Amino acid sequence: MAYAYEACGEPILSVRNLEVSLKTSVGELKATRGISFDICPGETFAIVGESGCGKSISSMALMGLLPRIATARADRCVFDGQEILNLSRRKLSNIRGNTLSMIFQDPMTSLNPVYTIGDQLTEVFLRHGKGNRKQARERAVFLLERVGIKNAAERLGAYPHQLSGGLRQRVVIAMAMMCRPKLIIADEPTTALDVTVQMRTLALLAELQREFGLAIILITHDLGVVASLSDRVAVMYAGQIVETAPTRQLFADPTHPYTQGLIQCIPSYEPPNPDAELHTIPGMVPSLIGKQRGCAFRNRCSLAVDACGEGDEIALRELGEGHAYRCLQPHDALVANWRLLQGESA
Amino acid sequence: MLQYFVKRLGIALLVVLTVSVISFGLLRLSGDLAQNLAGEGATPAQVDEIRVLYGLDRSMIAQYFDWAGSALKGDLGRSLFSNDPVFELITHRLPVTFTLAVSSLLLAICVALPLGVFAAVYRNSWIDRAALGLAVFGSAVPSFWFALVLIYVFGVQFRLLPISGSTTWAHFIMPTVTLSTMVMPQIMRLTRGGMIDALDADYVKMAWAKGLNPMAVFFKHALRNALLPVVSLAAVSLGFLLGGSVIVESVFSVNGIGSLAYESIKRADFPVVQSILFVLSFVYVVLTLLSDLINARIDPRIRLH
Amino acid sequence: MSNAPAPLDNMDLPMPSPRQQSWMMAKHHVGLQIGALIVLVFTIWAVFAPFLAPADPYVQNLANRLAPMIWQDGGSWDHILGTDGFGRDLLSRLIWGTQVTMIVGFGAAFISGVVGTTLGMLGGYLGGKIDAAVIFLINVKLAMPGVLIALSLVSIFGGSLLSITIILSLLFWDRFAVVTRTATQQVRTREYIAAAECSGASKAWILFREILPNISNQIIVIGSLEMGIAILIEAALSFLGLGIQPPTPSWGILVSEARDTMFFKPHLIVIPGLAICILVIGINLLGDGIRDITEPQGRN
Repeated sequence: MAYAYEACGEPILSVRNLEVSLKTSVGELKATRGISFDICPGETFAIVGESGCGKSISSMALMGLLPRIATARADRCVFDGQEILNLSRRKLSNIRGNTLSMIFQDPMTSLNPVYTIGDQLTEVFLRHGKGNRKQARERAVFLLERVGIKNAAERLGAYPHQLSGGLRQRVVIAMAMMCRPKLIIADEPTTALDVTVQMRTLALLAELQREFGLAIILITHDLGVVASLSDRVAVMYAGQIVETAPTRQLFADPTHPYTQGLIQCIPSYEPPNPDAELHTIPGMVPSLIGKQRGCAFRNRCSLAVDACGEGDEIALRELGEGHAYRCLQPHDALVANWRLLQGESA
Repeated sequence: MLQYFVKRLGIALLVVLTVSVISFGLLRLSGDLAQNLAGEGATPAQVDEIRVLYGLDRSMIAQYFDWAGSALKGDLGRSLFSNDPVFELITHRLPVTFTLAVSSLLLAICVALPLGVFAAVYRNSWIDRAALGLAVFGSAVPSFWFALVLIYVFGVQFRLLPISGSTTWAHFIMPTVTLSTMVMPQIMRLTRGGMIDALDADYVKMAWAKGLNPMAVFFKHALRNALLPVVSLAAVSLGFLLGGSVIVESVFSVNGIGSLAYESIKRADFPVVQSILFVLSFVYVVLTLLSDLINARIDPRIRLH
Repeated sequence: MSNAPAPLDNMDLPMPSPRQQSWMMAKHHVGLQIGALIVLVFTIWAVFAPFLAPADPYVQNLANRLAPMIWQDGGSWDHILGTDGFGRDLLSRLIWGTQVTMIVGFGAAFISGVVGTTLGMLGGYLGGKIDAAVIFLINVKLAMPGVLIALSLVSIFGGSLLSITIILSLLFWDRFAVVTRTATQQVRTREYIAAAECSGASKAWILFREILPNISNQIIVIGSLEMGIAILIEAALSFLGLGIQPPTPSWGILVSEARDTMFFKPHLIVIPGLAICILVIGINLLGDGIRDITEPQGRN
């Protein structure tokens, strides 16, 4: 199966056929369909796709933070040996912030402006009964120092508005680590930061992961971030995973036409060719309202054939070594297409 | 922070000064005060005599500084009607109105705050609709009419409550209820709106993601942020209630500052009216400064400005 | 129970035009429809009062005082809602009173709207000293006890329809100023204003052609709110005897005149009071509804 890279023993999170639908005034909207993946302890799994592809809402479904109009179903959604999708609120909140924590996109707004960062850090530790106030404080100081904040003990009394964006995101990361989680879901953790701060924050995440043996789900639209941090990738388009592979493999052999397009859209630094055009994928993401048929990417795809619009959905094709893609075209044809695209841009 | 408050204080003083000038000028506009004082049948000579006696022959500016000078010393002049010192009249009546206004505000907050919070938490539920319905009705009902309806129902039909006067606490129930309807809808709406914004905010999502229980999320993380504008509104409302109690006081014959103002306006007792306007605006300014201080306590962004 | 909403990214859906959207929402907006109906009915009463009122609202008939309503014992079609303590037809006084109420309410909201919007837009757009002056004026206005000032002014200038309207409009301009000032500040930083400035448009042009249309929604909402409050305060002033003067049939006066007989003829108080209440609810519903359908994201 292509859900995990290799058999890694017991996956920390195992999701099968996750489906999130939203009730809207114009009909039911299938935000995600048939999302399946396994995450091994200690690995980084990136979910990449453009906005609206359903990557954020899948993570919200896992955290039980969906808005009211949304409902989630799955054949299986097991975290740390426990089915979490239909868990009671109380049981779920015992997991949240404890073994499963989350880093939000915007550090400027995800810290409460009226409490000190010390209060917000220790709060989660005390909530999950990890120790007393003194221990909570010690853990907070340790982690703040670990994420590279100087004078950590003093900074505990600071309010969020007194810190810069980069520092705040470090505080958020430290907060996610307070209870020694097994899995952190990081939703666009660097998007709101300056480019220089982005790389340092990513490096920090990678370090922490190695040091504490965390698993990370990294949600991003930025393939550069994926390349630098993740072990495996799932590419999402219009609510489906269209391709999944080990990161190295994905960049070496992008198979789905959408993945190929995405990778080609990364502007290259060299050679400085004044005639070089920036690549784009033509067309628009289709509406997800109502019943979906065939491949969602077909109207933007140069390789589309009539059969792409038939059937309920395109099956996932295995390539081995954890690489699979959702397309009717055989691998050879897609590889040829990639060579063509590469030749074009060279 | 300190600088900020010094600046606020300066502006506040300037506001009070301007209000006193306006209310002074306003009442001198109203016609010949000396003529009023002398009465209908006075001869021109008598009127002139009074004019000189009360210093009304001097320029408006000189008169204003006279008044302001003695006002600073706590001397607000004497009533044209009873000749009592205005300061005593006001200090005698103010506690009644103050009690009425404060208890109305407390009642309004006690009802509106939980209602607003619940309406926001259970958005679009029956409790939200009920709260909004109540707010719509509350902001549309004329207070004098509501007072009469209360009197008819509880004073006359069921004979549960006394219908006029201000001698016992029971006398204050109906006036308090009536007066609180004047500010309750706004406080409810503002609490609800603030809570909805806070509940949608990222830091509340974060609080959920930390596994906090709903009480901690709603009351620790959301409410404190939602409360900031409500504190300011409460201060403004208290000022409004002190001035707006005139209607309720007149219906229930409560002997507060509102009915004093009303009577004085009716008999053109300008030193009293002018002083009441001045005192109420002074109280209002003090209240807004106080609410700024409270907000600074709640919100570090203001405190650590 | 979890209220935390997830960010819903933009989904590219075929969108109808804003006007179509507003119209579609209006068709489903019950509050808006009820409000519009109430306001329409009272407006018709006010405009066509001379034709709709069954009797002269001023003619007293002491022989027929406190006549009962039509459905009570002894009621007659001559006086559907009965007569007041002077034998005047209540329905006619109510209908003529609508005219007084609507003129004062609309007039006060309109004048204060013009004054407040002008101040707010000037302060918000020009900034600097002018803005500081506008803020100071607003603070002074807020510090003055409005109802008492209105009572004193009426006692000085008298209780004619015109003076009441002008006095009330002096009380309500501040909210217009606050809201339009903030809105203008927000709009001012948008690109299209910069574009207009760059193309050499005059300040007056920018204020009236670029900024005003973009904040008109908020002005309408405040206008409806203030019209409701103006109606309530006019009624209160008239009730206290320092507003519209009898025998002009203001709704506040109807309530005030019926106080003496309220214990045995409560309907004389209940009906005009309810009329005020319903009209103000209608105006507020209409205002809220207009806000809802014109700026969907402003709903809560």
